[in-house]
This record gives sequence, C-alpha cells and structure tokens, in this order.
Amino acid sequence: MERFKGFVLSLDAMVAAALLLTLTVFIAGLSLSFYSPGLEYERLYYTSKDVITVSSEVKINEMREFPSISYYISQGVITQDDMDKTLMEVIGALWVSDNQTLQEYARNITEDVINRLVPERFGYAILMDGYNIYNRSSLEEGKTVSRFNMLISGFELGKPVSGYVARAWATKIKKNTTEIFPFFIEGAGNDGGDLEVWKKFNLSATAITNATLYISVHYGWSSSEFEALSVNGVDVRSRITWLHESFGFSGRAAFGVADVTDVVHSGNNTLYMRIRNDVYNSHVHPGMRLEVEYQSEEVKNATNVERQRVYFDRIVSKEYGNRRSGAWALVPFYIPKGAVVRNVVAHIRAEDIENIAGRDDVRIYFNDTLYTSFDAPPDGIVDVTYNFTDMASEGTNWVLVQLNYRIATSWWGQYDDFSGIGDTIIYSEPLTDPDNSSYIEFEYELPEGRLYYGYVDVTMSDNFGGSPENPKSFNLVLEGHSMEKSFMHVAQLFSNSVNVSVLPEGGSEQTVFSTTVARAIPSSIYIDPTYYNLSGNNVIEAEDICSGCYILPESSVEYSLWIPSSVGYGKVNETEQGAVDDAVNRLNETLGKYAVATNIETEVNSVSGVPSMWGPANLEVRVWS
Amino acid sequence: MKAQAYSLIAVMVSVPLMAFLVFYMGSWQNMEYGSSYHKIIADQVAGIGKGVERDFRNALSIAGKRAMLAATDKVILEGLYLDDAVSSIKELLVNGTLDGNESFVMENNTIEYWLFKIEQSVQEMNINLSYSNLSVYDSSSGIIIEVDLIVNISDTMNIAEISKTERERVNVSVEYIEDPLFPLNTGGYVGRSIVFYPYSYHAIKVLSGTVTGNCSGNVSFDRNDPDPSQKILVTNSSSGVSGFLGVISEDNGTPSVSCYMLGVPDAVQKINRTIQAGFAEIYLDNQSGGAWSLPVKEAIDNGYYSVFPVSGPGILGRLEGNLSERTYGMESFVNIPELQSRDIAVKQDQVSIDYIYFSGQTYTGSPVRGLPSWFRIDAANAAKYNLTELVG
Repeated sequence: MERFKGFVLSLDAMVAAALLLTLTVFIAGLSLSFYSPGLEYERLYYTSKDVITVSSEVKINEMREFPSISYYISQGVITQDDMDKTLMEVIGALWVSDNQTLQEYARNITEDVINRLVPERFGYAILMDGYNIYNRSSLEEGKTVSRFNMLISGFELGKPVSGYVARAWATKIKKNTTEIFPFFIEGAGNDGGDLEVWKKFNLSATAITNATLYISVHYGWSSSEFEALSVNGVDVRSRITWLHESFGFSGRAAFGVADVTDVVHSGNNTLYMRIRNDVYNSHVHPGMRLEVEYQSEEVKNATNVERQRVYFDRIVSKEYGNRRSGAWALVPFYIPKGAVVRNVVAHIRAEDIENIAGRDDVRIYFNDTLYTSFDAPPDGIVDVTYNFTDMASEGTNWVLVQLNYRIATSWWGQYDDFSGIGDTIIYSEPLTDPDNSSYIEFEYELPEGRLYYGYVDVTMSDNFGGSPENPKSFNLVLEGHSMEKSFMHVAQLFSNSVNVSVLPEGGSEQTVFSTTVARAIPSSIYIDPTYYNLSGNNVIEAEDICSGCYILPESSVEYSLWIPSSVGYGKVNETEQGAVDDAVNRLNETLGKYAVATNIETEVNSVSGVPSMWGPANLEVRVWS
Repeated sequence: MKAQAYSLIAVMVSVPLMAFLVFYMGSWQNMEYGSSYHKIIADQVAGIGKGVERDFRNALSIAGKRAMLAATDKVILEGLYLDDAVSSIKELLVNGTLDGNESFVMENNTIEYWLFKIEQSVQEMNINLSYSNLSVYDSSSGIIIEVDLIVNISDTMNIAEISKTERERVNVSVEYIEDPLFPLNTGGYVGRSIVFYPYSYHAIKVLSGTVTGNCSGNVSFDRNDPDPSQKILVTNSSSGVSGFLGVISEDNGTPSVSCYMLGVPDAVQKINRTIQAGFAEIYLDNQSGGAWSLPVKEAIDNGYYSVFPVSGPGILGRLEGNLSERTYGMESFVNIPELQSRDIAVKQDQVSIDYIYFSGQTYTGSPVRGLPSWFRIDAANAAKYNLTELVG
C-alpha cells in the first residue's frame, strides 16, 4: 500500500513537472511571438521595399484601374506622355512642381495606390528630400520603424522635371549699316579745262539716317573754279564746310564735308562734280567719298565664293583752248588673305582717245606695272578687256588707266603731258549700261572656316578724328564679332607714298599696305581681318613718307562684321511660350545695336524632350508598426 | 518518504530542463534576430546597387537627350557638320564639352556630374562608382548609349558588399530634336524637328476596280452631307447621288458626279475600317483602278520621319552630313514649296526624300498621282512606300 502511495505521489510530481514544462514552453513561445523585434523589423523593411519596388517599376499605364489615376487621366493632369512613366516619376514630378494643387494630386495618388500595398496595421510615410508627400497615421516615439531610400535623378523641389527649350533665328532683319562710295584717285581738267566726274550707284535702304559727302579735290586758286557739285540734281556746293585747305603754285588742295542726308535716297543715285584749275590740273585727292548710314533689310548670303564688280566713275576731261584734255583713274580691288583668286577682269571703255601712231595714248597699269600701252583705234573708241587673274595678289590691288595722258620726263624733271583734242572720256554707266561700262570684276574663293552662316553683315565706319598729323593713328576696338573685311580710306590734301600698318593688342605691328608708285594712293586700302585682334584694341597707323603730307582726321576705317542672326537653345523653361520668349530676347540682345529683327522664327523643342539632371532626390519610404 | 524523494527527483529533473528550454529558445530568438539584421543590411546594399543602376540609366537618358540637343545646336548655329558625331556625343556625355568648349546645354547634365552627385548623396554606405567602355551608335529611333557601370558598395560595418560591373544600355529618342540636314542645306532658313510618322502604313490600295476620273477628298458616309463638294461619298447605293466630289458605291447605280467607283463589294466596311486608322482621305485613281489611302501625304505636309530597313542616315549621320543609306535609319520628304517660299533654289525633278534630295548628285524622280505635283520619287523608293502603281 505504501509502495502504491509513493508511486502515486511520484506520478503527481511528474505530471506537475510536465505541466510546468508545458507552461515554460508556452511562455517562451509567447515571448517569441510578441517580442521579436527582428521579425517585426523584417516585416516593416520588406513592406517599405515593396512600396519602392512597385512605385519604381510599375508604369502608370498599368495602373489605370486606380480611381485617382483614372481621374487625373480624365482631367488631363496625367497625359499620354506620362503613360510610360513609373508611379514614382509621376508622383515626383507633381511633387517637385512646388505647386500646392499638384502636390495635393501627388498626395491623393500616393494614398490611393500605396494604401493598398501597406497592411492597415502599419503606419507609413512617403518623403522626398525630407518633405512629407503623404503619411498614414503619425509616427509615435518608441515604434519600430523601417526606412527605405532611393535616389532618383531629375527631380528637385521647384525645378521643372522636363520642359521646353527654344532657339530662334531672324529670317528678316532691319540692320543699321553703312555703305561707303569712294571716289577714286582720278582726273583731270588740264590748265583751265573742266574735269567732270559722275558717280552713279544703287542703294537698297529702308531709311537713310545720315549721308555725308567728303570732298577732297585739287582745283584752282579761285573758289569759282569749283564749278558744280550736285547730288541727284540738287546743288550742294553751299552745304560744304571746307575743313582743310592748302594753297600753292599749282592751285589749291581742299578737303570739305557736306551733309547730303536729304538728297540721297534709296534706289539709283547720281553724284556729279565739275572742277577746273587754271594754273595746273584739277583732280580728285585721297579721301573723297560718300558715306551713307541707313537701315536695310537686305541680308548678304554668305558664300565662300565672292564675286564683285567695281565700276569706274564716268570721267570727262575737256580741252580748253589749246590746253589738251586727258583722263586717268586708279581703281582698287582686294583679295583676302588665303583666298584663291578665281578671276580678275578689267573692262575699259574710253572715248575720244587720240590716234597718233607710236604715242601710246592708252596706258593701263596693273599695280606698279605698265601692263600695256597702245594707240587708240581711228574712231578714238577703246573697248578692251584684260584678264589679271594671274597677277592679282592678296591685299590691295589696283588698275590705273591713263588716257591721252602720261607723266613725262624732261631735262627739268617730270611733268604732266596731256594730249587729248576735245574731250577725253572714261565711259561708265553702271545703272543703265553696266556691261559696256568700265569696271573691274574680281572673284575669289575663301578658304574653309571663313564662311559665316547664320550671321548678318553690318558695315561701320569710324573717322580717325583729332587733327592733321603724319603719321596718324587710330584705335579700333573690336568686341569679338567675326569680321568679313575692312578698308582704310586715307584722306589727304597732298600725298606721296602712304604706308598703313596695324598693331593688334597682344600682337606685333604689321604693315598691310605700302604705296608702290608715288601718288598712287588707292581710295580703299584693304586690311585683312587676320591683322586684327577681333576682341581687343587695334592701332591702325597711316604714314606718308612726305613729311608735309598730313593724314587728315577725316581718314576712316570701314569694317564689316558678321553679327549672329540666330541663337541656340537656352535654359529649360516650364512653358513653351517662356522658352520662345527667352530665345527672342536673347536674339534681340545678340543683334544689339546692329539690327532689329523684324521677323523671327523659333524652333521649339518641347515636352519630355528636355529633361534635367536635377537632384538626385531622395525618395524615402518609412513604415512603422 | 519515498514519494517525497521521487517528487524531489522530478523537480530536480524538470527545473534544469525548463531552464535549458528557456535559455535555448531565447538564444534561438537572438540568433534569428542577428541573422535577420545581416540579411536586411545585405538587402539594403543590394537595393542601393540596384537603385544606382536604375538611376544611372535615367541619367544616361537625360545626358543623351541633352547631348543630341547640344550637338545639333552647335551644328545648326555654326553651319558646319561634325567631323565625328560619335566622339562629339561621347565628349558631351562625359565632359559637357564639344571640341573642348563648354556646352551650356550640358551644364550639370553629364555622366561625370551624375557620379559626383550620387557619391555625395549616399552617406550611409561606402560607395564608389566608375564607368568604362562608353559607346554610342544609331538606333532606328535615336541613339543607343552603352556603358559599363562599375559599382562598389558596402555598408559601414562591412557586413555586406557589392562589387560588380554591369553593361547598361539606354535608347534615347531623337524625337523633337532638330534635323541639322535642313538648316545646313538651306542657309539656315528652313528648320525641321524630328517627329516620327504616326501611321502603320504609307499607302494602301483599299479597293480595286474600275474608276472613272481621279479625285481625292475626305470620306463621307452621309448622302445628305451638308458640305459634299470636297468629299467622297462611300455608300451602298449611288443612284441619284450628286454634289459630291466623288462616289464609291457597292452597287452600280450611276451617280451624277465625274469621279466614281461602282460595284465594289464591302466598300463601306473596308473604307470605314481604313479611316479608323486616322487618315480620313481617299484617292480615286483610274489608272491603277483603285481607291487609295495615302497617309504618306501627311509625311509630306508635316515633315514626318519614317523608318525603313534601308533608309536615310540616322541622327549621327545627319550631324556629320553623311548622307549614305543605312539599315533602319530614317528619312523625311523635302517640302519644295517651303524652300521656294524662302527663295531657295530648288532642284527640278530631284527625288524628294531628304537625304537623296540634299545629296550632291542628281537623282531624277517621277511624279506620283494623288500626291503634290512637285513630289518626285524613284522606282526603288516608290516600292518602299507602296506607291509603285501611282508613279508616272
């Protein structure tokens, strides 16, 4: 009995122990279930990761079923262009707009879509760069939180995700430009005989703002020997202000200026001058020219092959009693550095030339060389064409024609020998009979890289200013524009041999022209753009070897610049109109003082075409239990 | 006494057992927690790596789009083609420069800039990014950029680390980028942005049969259409029809119009199905005997770009002025009246396809019935556009 009792008691103890053991396991199990932070965190972590994965992988097109997305598609907030974007990209774009309404849309989409991904017992928040886009419940202290971050480039608060850029170009321009019509070194009216000069030209202008006629002549002692000066038939002699004069045994050299703005007009123009010199011969001196400042809509088409024709002025030299007539003209043209000379042709037509055997009353020079001389035909009409292609060289070239005139030499030295009976005429009617007129036609091909595209040519002219000096210099400050060509127009009362040099800022002085024959001063001396510092100061100096031959302050530098007539893409703009306005403003700034764009076209690059690498933004998903 | 001894023994056995069990389960829990922590860290490192790769592709798309913009901008502004478009695009992608000159368009939008920003932005990890083997080539819709992205990421406690090289590839659309071919061949006066042809076909003969006259107009299915003079009525019965530009009828009733096609079974259904594609115009051509849908007209009018197995140059070729044919390149039509309106001399009878028209050689083409009278195409390209029956 006692043994049985002990057994029962032992059994009780074992049962108690088993119960205790079960209880222990149960409690341990409970503690695992309710207090495992690792497991809980893992759940939160993978939830936040799922949110990121879904929002960065699934395209909006696949989420049309969500009420918020279908609503915003119907409202045009989400467009067709957004269909291939991810949820994150669309929410991000709405959020970074910094527009409260759009941010509200971002919030609504997030709530609609993400709420379905995150179990209800979890709280969560979506943040971009620390700013809360949406949160479900608030995060209280002591909660287990999982954070999952992702960097996304192209998003930054307040910056457009994609936008518009525009470029603009002017298809029509009203430019402010200058054209110079130089009178060549030409003559002559011998010992009281008249010299008549006609310059005829066409001007394409919408408005003429200024026209100044510079007169540089050698005529007689009496002012009455300056017989006529008219522009389009209007006598302008009374308008002349004589700025410089020098009297000598051979008459007077005079330099004056006249405002002819009101009498020069768009279209065909004719300038006429008649002078004589009773004690020597009358002729044109260096610096005589018409400068016209005007607005034009004519835009030069830049090509690498340039062909120009320079017409002679019409010259009539009249015999006076037994004082014979004779005519000459020195007409310059230019070849740019590095250009290939394709063709240079001079056509000379002269009338009333004497036909005296062996006297060679027709003499034609090319640069410093007597190219040909011959007797005129019996009818006195000379009509010849010469090809100087092989003789033309870089820089300033010239053709000198002497008719019924030569510089002769005798025991007392050189003298002017006139031989024309009646008139001596250099024929030139460029407006009505261009092909029969006297002209020089030259054609050259520029090297690659000097062809300017999308630019408008604008010509300007600056006078040296100051007082007569020898040598005389001028500072030409250039602002970085490309240059097409430039010329110096030397103004002098008397001249002998002129040298022109350029000293560019940061460079060394270079001689760009030297007179090869005494008194042969071309009316336009070509200065190649390569001589200049195009973004700095350039000292242009003219010097005559004859110390008394001053360079007048009315000497000028004419230069043609290429001004950009288009602008490239600018900053990314949120609206198409903003981009266009920006392009137009930049174009007008670029044209600046040189031109007014009267017709501007823009090419707009739009919508998703122009993304920006803003950010990267930090997209953060926080999930807590 | 014995019972008490047994109870005591039982307690002595069960207490250590319980202690062991509680200890074991606690240890198991801690072990699980530790392993989970490591797993999450590793996952985070992997996640950042994946995110960096994804963002790199995004950055390549942004930089690629801008590089094409910058390159075309320079070419069009300067009027000079690029010597080597691929090298230029690469230079823009990497340095934001072109021929050593900084591009405004690429400012803060280069691959180098992206690397710098990402390395700066990832604070909680050790990150080192680099790239190599950048390549750029034409695709049918733009350019493809490929590059090896070298990613080295580890957490600060060195629990997990990624070190890998991935070949990343993005296709950057050329849409909306300006085609340099047009401004450079028109002195800058004519520009054209690339927009791809939106239809699935260029020309299709919808109906075959005998056609009287030639006419082209929008389709109407309404006999009582208030504005019939420019429309082609498609009907199952044409008796007594008048006022329309043309008529297509399923029966043989002669209408009072000069251009018609009669006795065409299922005409209403076939035409209706055709215009659902978006192009509402039909051309009746008596020579080929058919009713044609010619959405190619929109390619001519709007300058859309089409892609063919053998076609004109892609954007890279166009940046170089290289007008040779290529596989799956693109082409558009030159609009002769547009050139004439800008006083640009036109090439008479030259094939109107852009890269052929602008080439230095003469390629004489023939007119195409149903298309503008100035339009010209050669036999090979007519076949490509399914226009062979209309040529001449």
